[in-house]
Amino acid sequence: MKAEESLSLLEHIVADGQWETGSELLNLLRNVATAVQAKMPWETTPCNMVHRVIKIIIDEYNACRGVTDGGGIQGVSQMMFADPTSGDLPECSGIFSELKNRVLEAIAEHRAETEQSQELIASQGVSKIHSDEVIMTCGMWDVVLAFLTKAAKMRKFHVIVAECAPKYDGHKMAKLLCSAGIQTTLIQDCAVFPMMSRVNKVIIGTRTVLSNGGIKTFVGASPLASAAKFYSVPLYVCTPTYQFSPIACEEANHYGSGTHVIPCNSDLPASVNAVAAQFDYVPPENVTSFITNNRGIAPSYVCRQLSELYQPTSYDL
Amino acid sequence: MAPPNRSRRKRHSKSPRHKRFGSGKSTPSSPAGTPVRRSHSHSISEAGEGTSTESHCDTVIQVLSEESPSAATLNQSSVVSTSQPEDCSSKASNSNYECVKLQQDRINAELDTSKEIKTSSTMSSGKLNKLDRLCGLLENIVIEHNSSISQSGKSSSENTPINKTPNNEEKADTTLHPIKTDVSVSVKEKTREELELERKLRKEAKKAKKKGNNKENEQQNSANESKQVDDNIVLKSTQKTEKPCSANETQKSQDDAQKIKQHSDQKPDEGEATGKSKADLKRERREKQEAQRKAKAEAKAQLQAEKQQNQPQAIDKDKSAQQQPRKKTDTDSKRVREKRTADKDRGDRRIPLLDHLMAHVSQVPSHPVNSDFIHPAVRTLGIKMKERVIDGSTARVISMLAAFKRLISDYQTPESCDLSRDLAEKLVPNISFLSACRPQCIAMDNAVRFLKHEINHIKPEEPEAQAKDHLQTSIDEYIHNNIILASSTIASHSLQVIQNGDVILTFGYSALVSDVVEAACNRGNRVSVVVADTPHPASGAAMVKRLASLGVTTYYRFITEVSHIMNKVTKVVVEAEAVMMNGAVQGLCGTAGLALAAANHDTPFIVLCHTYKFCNNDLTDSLVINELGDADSMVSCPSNDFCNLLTSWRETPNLNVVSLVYDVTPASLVTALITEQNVLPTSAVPVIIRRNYADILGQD
Repeated sequence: MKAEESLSLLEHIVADGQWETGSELLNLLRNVATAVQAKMPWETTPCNMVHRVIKIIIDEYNACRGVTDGGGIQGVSQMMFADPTSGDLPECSGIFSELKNRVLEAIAEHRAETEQSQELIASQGVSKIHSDEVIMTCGMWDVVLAFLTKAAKMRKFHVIVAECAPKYDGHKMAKLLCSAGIQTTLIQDCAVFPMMSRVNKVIIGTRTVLSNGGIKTFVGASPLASAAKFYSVPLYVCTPTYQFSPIACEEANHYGSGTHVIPCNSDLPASVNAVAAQFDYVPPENVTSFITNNRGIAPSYVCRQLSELYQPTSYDL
Repeated sequence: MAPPNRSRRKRHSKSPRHKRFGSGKSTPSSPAGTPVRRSHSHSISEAGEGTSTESHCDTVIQVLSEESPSAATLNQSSVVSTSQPEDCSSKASNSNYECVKLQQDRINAELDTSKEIKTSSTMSSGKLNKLDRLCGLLENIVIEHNSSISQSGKSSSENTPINKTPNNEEKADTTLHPIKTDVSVSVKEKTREELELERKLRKEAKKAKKKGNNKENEQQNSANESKQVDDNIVLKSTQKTEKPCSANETQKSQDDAQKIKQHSDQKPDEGEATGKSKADLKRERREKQEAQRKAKAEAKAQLQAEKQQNQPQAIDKDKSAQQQPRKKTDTDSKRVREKRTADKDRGDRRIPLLDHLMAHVSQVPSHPVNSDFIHPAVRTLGIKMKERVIDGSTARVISMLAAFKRLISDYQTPESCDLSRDLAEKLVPNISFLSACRPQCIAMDNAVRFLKHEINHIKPEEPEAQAKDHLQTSIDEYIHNNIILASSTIASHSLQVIQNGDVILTFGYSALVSDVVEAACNRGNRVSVVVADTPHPASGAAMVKRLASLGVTTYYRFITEVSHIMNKVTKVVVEAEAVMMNGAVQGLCGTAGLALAAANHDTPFIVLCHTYKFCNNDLTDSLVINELGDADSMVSCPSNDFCNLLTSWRETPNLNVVSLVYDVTPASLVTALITEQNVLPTSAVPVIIRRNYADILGQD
């Protein structure tokens, strides 16, 4: 939803914005990205869309100029010397009348791909899940739900859902899964480690995929991933490509108020420090594979994937 | 138990119930509860140390014996005694027991278990035994009556001619030859049994169709069914020929039994092929057994048919004998079928993984007929443990032992019984009642073993009062040495490990950990504590309050977020519920996750444990020995959107909600174990068990 909304906003800017040259358009988009990042630094999807559109514009501009850029895949030497934090976007000062239409067409194509991404991921389920397996998941993710329900039409397996406090959307996931005919069991978050010894696969969703191959996702993913690593259970992350973000650093964690974490009936003294984190970081060593629109991607391949999606020098706008 | 005891007990059962639990002390005015309490508090004051566990001990005992002050007030007013007291030496103490019992009744009535209490209070046990005997007699009469009916039915059917309709295939031939009637009886049995088998196989086939997708399986089933049908047709034809050759028929019956066996033998293979559930496999096994039983019965029938040729007078007896085993298999299979359907309907669904664990019961178990064997203190304790008023292994052990002390003090040895044997017997229903209320933890298990060990070692010539005193003092010593003194020793040992400026991470509420923190503060070390907590049971809040009152800087965090604070934490200190022989630590659900996070950040994971909680199991995972908690408290989660979304989870197909109470941390994740012996590595656990607890824990 966020991806589609941000994409329509960008379409709007391209279609109706005041610009003549490619560079002006790029500056407009850059402003959008910085504004979003300032207000909501944890929302990476809109910024990813901006990066993607920037890449689309640069490609179309180059196509208009008639210069082929090697199909968009940079040579190794170019990748090495391009500084991603420079924020230098290539100069696109030529005016081409057909640039606008081409860009809009490409954005529409990208939009179709985004809308289909959930289905594309779900269709990979049958090859990943086998009969009589026990799958663990945590919290509510539409992508994972689609993945599992589609696989359930062909296979019979058992799903264990961790309730994912403090949001507790695991309850919703359990309800939706069992109404799809899948044998579901709901467990507490702290029971993830005891049950892990009986689990065959762990499948989760995420909010962001970082450029080092790690993920920044719901609270509770880190103990889940550590337990999976301890018992050598593969961890799959279902994510559409627009969640691949050029951000490398996970240090910037965002803390929220801890009031929803404290149990209702207790009266904790005021001197107690109670704070709730919003996200968890899972390092790339604990992730087995990312299941994306086209295929599965290993965490070590993520940076290559990023260079296909985005302009290398535009990472830090 | 030796038979003489049993017969003696029967004689005693005629006496009113309260005599058995009559107070041993001769003071008529003192209620039954207070002598015990006085002695216990006396022993505590002797110790002179005011640690928190002792005060905890006291509050527990107070809570248990809260009926005694009210009993004292009731003493003045006249007591309604429901059973007629025969001559008893201390009438007042008996009436005290009635008061206590009345109080108990009130409590239980509030908890809606009034039915059983009323029946038990209105009837004395002698009358109950009579009822049992009556019921048994009635059952026997019913069985004989049924068999006589069927016999008369058969004799009438022998006179009617054979009809070719399938309904009357069971009716025998017109010949009145005694041998043939016998054979026809056996034929009738066979066909009825085969019909049953057919029915079962059809049901199986239906189930297989529903579950598995294997077409081959269905074909095989239908092939089997057709085989069965063929057998029946063959039988019918033999009947119709009117030449019942007894030897041939019994031969055929044996062949059919063989075929049935083969069918049922094939079944398990198919079952494995389709991955059938446990229930189906059980059904198959049962059919196998029944087929074997039938084969045996047929063989018997053959032998008896041969005997009949010599002794025609013994017909009736044999008929009835054959009827009864057939009847029994009928009723057995019916009962089994009913139970199976009842299980399914009950909606008490569990995942097969956790089938071995006792399901969580929301109500106090209804009292069995011999509920007068359960001491009121134990009953109160069971209710309190079920309601989680008394929670935590240390508190449960202390309160259980205190309740047993009351039981021992109220106990009176019946004439010419050994105190040790009889008391041990009397303890058993109490222990099982407690575990029915809430499954026993390993620490409680160890304490019970200790008590049984002590009781076993009472010499028969020891006078009763002395033996009881001996038992009570040994219980006191056990609690004092293993819990109270041990706690303070653990606190002082841990001072070796905790240094100034430590940031300690702990999990949930633990009296021992707060003792340790208190000791560290008294030493002068400045420590701050992070309390990790789970949503249910949310015991961390109480821990935070307690620590904050000590003046320690406390932080409260959710257990899933520990990875964020791990880099600031210097030590993780946790109390164990039990430690296994292989060094694995059983703690409340969530400790294993903490241990893993600590290992990932290279933080020491320190476990505090009293040695009496060491046990002889070797566990490698958390699901083998565990307890299922209240799933409904999980469903009513503290979220706005999803609270009570799954309240009807028991009726929803495919859904299950599981709440585990314990989990097991593997020994490799534990850095050190602090016990009252010393700071130990986990490999020292079997050594300590062998040294100190070998006679109690035994070889298992």
